[in-house]
Amino acid sequence: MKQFLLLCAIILISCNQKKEEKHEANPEPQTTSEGQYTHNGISYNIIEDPLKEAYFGEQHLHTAASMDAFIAGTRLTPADAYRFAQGAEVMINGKPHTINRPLDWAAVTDHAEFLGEAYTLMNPGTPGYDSEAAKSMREAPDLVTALTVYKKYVLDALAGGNAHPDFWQGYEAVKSQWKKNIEATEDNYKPGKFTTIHAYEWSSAPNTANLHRNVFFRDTNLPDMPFSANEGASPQELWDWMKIQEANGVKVFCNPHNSNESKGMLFPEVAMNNKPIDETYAKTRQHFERNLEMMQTKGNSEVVPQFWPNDEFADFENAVSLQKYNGRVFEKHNFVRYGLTRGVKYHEELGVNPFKYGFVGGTDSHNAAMSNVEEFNYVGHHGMADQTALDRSRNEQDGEMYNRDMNPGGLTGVWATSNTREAIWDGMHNRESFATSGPRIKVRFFAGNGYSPSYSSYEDMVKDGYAKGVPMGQNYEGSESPDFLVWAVKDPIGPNLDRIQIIKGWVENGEMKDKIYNVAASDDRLKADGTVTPIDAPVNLKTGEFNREKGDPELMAVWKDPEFNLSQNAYYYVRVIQLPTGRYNLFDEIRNPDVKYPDDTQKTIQERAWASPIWIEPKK
Amino acid sequence: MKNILKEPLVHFLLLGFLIFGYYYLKNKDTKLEDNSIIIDNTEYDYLLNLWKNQWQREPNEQEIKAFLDQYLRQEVFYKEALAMNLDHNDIIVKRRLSQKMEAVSNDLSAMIQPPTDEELKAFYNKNKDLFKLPPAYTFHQVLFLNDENNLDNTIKEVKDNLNKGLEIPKDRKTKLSIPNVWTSKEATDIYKTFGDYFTSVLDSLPQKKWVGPIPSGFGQHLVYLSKKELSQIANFKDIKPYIEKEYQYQTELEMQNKVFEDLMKKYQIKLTSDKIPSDIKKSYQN
Repeated sequence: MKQFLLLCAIILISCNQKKEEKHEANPEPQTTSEGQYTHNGISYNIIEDPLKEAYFGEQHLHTAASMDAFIAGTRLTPADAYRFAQGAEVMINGKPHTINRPLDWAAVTDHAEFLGEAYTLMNPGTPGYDSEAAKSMREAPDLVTALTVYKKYVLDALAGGNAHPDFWQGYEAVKSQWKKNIEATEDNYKPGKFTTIHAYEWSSAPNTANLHRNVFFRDTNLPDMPFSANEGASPQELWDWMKIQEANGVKVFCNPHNSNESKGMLFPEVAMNNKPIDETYAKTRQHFERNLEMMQTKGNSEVVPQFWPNDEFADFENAVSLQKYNGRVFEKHNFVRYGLTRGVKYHEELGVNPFKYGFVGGTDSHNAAMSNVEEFNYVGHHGMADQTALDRSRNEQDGEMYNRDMNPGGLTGVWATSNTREAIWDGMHNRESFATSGPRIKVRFFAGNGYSPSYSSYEDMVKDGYAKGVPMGQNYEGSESPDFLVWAVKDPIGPNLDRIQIIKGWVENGEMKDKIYNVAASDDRLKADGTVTPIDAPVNLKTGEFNREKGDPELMAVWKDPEFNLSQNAYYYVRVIQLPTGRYNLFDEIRNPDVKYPDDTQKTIQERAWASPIWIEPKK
Repeated sequence: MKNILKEPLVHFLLLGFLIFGYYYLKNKDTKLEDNSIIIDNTEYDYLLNLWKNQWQREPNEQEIKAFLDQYLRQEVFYKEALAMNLDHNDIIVKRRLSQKMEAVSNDLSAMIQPPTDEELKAFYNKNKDLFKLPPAYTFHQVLFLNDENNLDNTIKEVKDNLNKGLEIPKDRKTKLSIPNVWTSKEATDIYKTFGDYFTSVLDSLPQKKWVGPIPSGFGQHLVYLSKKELSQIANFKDIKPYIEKEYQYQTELEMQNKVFEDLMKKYQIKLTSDKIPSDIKKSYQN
């Protein structure tokens, strides 16, 4: 607690004091400058960098204000979650826990569907507080009881057509909790130092197909109440509501997640009203939906080996056991690469791409533990279900998958001119964002004409990147084959990089295709034919330490597509692969000699980053 | 007198008196029959106000029905439970009652007047540790990658040149995107980019001189430490709103403890179990 208070004091001070730049040694011009920023009538001096900096944060997180998290034992509030994100110690499942590296920004995305119940559950004296259902939710002493309670009051109520357990007090209760979330988000905003974004989750799952979307607001012009799946379970109803918000001046977008659990419904051929996807649908969807959550605790949604057998890195945090539950069997339609390719095919058919998404990563933690993504620092994400190494090694996550198939989750990097709410929101809205599987790898990606094969400085490279082309998230509009400029730097506390790949998806004579190109590899391993000599950088399985000698800390390339065709609808995105590190189960086993994960659990992984695509959209 | 008014126990007793007084008056005219539950005007107004306080508006008919239902349900079960002596030594009842008592003492903090400037200053002076800033560092760094050719000689050469006042070589400016100049940065920020080893040695480096190499996750760094701002107490003026929040929080904590301690004095604590470690036993002896 003391640490946290200290931190607050520092933040307050750093906001109030104007720092003077002193060049005592070898003076040189700075590209960054100090600017004035005003929020709620208070003025702040903040650093602005026209070349943009990568700010790392969380965009998918549940607290006790999500009723499922509450039942599982979480009592941390949105305010607690923001404190955790800034480095304060909190109690997770009764044990003190701290994030390894504080975040630059964060958003709490509690389920809108049960906000009202959460308010009643957490506020003594409110009507319904002492109801039987509320009491049993609050007092569930163990996992089995919690699950029984969850089934009895939530799942059975849903199945019986009741959106709410009996102690729900109506929309005033929903508004009360939404207001509390808003207050916590405002209280923790420290412009220039730590950004918070007003947000919530719309959790529609028709026939258990996961169509969830997280909804993000740019400023404090906010609705009285979020729109939940209870008010409308189809994405079109959500967009209709967003349209009304826009008419009121609210700036809002949403990001879908867990396409891997979508039963083919996230990237569909027909809308939920059974009408084929048309131009209006596509336009509306592209307007409101800006990023896909590439990875989170319930799996990596990029690709799976069974449909992409030629992708040697496809076997990564696929959460395969989720197929055993709810009939969420893998099909090609469920994965991000399919969605992107189907999107460019829709562009060919309709003139608009409904699936024009950038990438973000999140945890979806139900412990209020913002971006607790480091494998060596993982303490589970689902209350009592996965709180100990033993629980993680043998329990299932009820109705979802095995705990050992879950992972600590992903992270989002946003390229922004400053660490302010508007700049971070704009960065995500413009899709100048990237996802990582947890590490703080930074990746830049440009398409343009006339890039140099190498630059004498990082700044020259970035300036040229913007001056002669477009960054990730945009359309390349040139009339000749583009140069793709790609650059990545390692996580300072992780191993070196293995390689950078560019993944291309396109439509050729009506057929959807995709292909992976290796464009840079560490230790000069990229061969003329585009293949890469394997690298042996083993993890020490006794200590969990990764190899520190192999690979390179930075990779950069300017690449041209040998089969570029300006008249083809296409996209290009980037995947950066890191050298191997220990997975959390390895650290669990090292620290708890009695715990043994089943043999099919991978002990090491190759973490990665994904930069948002650049599109080629030929004019008809 | 002023001191007595400030005494938490006095607040507590006063509040208790009000609560019991309310119930006394409320029940005075009601002939209590064990198997009847009466909702008279007083009771109804009480429930209505409870509802209105919570929702800040008038309830509609459905909502009135709902809170009456809820009250009756609770009352019926409550009376039955009392009749069956279920309250006696029940752990849940104990917990709820003690929580209720604590909640009453928490409410006392709502009675605290906002502090005056003097009180705030006194609090600040008394608790300076709470407002201490961690040390901050201002430094320049130049990065060399571990696999560069002739690494040791290059580092030495660049270090000599820098110490002669030459500029940072162009190809080492913002190398790997890491800024060369770091101004008044705290350890947690430095750790995010340079990792723990670099951060831990920074404090012991000589100042105003290029030194190194110092390793990080990226490679080897030459470092020119130009300023160390020692841990210092933040200026009262600059963080006044923060001190106010802190004052409120700490006073609340203090008051909760005070009430607990005062109440404890009313009881003689006898730890007769021989299984309690003796050190712990001692701590309960006044």
